[in-house]
Amino acid sequence: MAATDSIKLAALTAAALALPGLAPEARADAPQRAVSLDTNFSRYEESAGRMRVDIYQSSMTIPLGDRFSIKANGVKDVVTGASPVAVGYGPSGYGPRSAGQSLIMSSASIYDVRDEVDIGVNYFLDDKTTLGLDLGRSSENDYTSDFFNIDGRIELNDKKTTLATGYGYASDKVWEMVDDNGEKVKSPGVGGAKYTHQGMLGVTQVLDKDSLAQLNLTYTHSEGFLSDPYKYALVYNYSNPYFPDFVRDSRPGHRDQFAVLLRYVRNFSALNAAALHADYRFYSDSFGIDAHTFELTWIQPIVYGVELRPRLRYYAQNSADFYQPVFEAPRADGNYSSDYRMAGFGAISGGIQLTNEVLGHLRVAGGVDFYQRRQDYGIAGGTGTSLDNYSFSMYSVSLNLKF
Amino acid sequence: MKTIIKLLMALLALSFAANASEQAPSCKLKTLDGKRSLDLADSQGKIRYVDFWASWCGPCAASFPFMNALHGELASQGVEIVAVNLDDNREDALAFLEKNPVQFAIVEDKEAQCPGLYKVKAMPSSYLIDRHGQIRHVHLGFHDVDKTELRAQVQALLDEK
Amino acid sequence: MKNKPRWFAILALPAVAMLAGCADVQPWERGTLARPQMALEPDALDSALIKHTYSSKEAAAGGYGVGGGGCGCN
Repeated sequence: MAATDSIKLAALTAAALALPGLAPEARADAPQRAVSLDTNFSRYEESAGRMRVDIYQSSMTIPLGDRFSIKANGVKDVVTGASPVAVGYGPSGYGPRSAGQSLIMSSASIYDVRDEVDIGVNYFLDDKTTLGLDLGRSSENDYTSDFFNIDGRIELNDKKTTLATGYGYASDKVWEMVDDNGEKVKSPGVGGAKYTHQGMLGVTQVLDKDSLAQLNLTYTHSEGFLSDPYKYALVYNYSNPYFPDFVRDSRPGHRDQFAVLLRYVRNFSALNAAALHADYRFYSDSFGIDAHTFELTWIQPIVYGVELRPRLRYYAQNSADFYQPVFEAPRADGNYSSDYRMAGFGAISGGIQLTNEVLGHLRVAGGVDFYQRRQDYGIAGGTGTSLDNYSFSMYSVSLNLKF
Repeated sequence: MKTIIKLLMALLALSFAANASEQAPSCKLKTLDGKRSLDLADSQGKIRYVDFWASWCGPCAASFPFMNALHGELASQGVEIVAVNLDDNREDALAFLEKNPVQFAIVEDKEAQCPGLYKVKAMPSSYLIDRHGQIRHVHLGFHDVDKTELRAQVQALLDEK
Repeated sequence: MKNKPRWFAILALPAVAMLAGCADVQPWERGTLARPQMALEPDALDSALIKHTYSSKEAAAGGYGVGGGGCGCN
């Protein structure tokens, strides 16, 4: 019965494990002779008083001579709100089935700050070849991640074809923070280390004067503690045939993920040099999840320096092999998850951004995005519960300076 | 058959990528202000520095101040700089020149007749032509390190008789 | 991973088509492609943030580039 107490007391950052933040790509398209500074403030808000995150980002790129450029990025996420912890019956989770399924939420007094810094360098070997290295660290009160990645690009065929490859490594530690008489302490024996390797191969091809396409293949392998230390799953006939148990979210100790991304960009000179961006990504992993992502962005220059960018996205995934909202019987492999991110669902999102160039060196932009996740929007199948449906909105303001 | 010929021509073009030690191809263009007409090959005994550029080419912004300095120093000694604009829109070229004002000659080639003849392989591309109309050096792209080399090459061509 | 081999085959076709059906573009004809709106990532900070947000809320992640560690998104 200790499980229920933990659920109630888990005042913390189930949100920590679902934080939006920055994972910058330390890649530059061409030797930049200008110093560039980017800053962004975004507010992320979920429906029904769930999570709220304020995100502060800044990025600086400085060219060093003809052959090098260095980049530094910083992110701060301030998280408040509540997050789902389990699916159960009745308000306590332990209620009779007749009470109906309910979503057990963490307490609403979450407060967590995540800081991330990374530094990268790009080396322009010659007009055709670029090498990049990036190192960083992210930390918050229940999670740290140390990472580095290297990448290389080579332009062939009179710069009409670009081959890119990259490798990334991350070493993470995850644990659970609980409220102990008003003080936040680490739960002993919960959590662990996680190691991730990622490799990517990509090719970009100029199709004609007005269009280009890109194909990227990514493979990711993770080992270690891959579960969510704040989440539980309700399992019947686990320790006894009379009452169910809340079992900790337990996922396999390794995960293989594949992603294939196809991107297409096309210019429409008759429409004031507007550009269409269309992406399709297929994803598949060893947890049994397949997902499809379709994205469309339209960049419309209005008058000199002013651009409007509407975008639309559709996402669908099926559920993980070890996912159920509630388990009627224990699983032989001991894996359990009722995490809404492991369920089958679909999501539709869209947004619009307005950018304006002023004084030749400064660019100001503002935008908003809306996202709606629903179990019945999915085309990929799988199982889930409509209790996990939610929406979010994200408001963003950014400034870019080049000199 | 047509594809084979195209392929062979492409290979031929590639083999002549550098294009040095060749007679500069004749190509007549009008200056941006429309006032006069120039033939790229007709150097009239001077040293010609022909630069193919466009407003959208990043390194071009760096090369213009350098070429302007060269013009200031060496025009009186017989070095003529001719920059060939390859923009589709005149306005883009004019906007670029407002940000990067220069004293040397700017000609426009909207239909891109000349870059094909000169087998331009990169943007920008500079061709150093001697007093006898022979292409002696070809530079693909523009970097800070090219400045000293270009200066030395122009000086060497000037010193020739 | 259900149907993985079949999906890879289907996606290989446009990749091959991509390389086969390409027009000849001269170095001086790249003005349009050089425009900022034609860049695959016209706004790096914005796209990194929105993609990270999606990958925190969904199972699928990656495909756009390598690395970045960061969030504890199990």
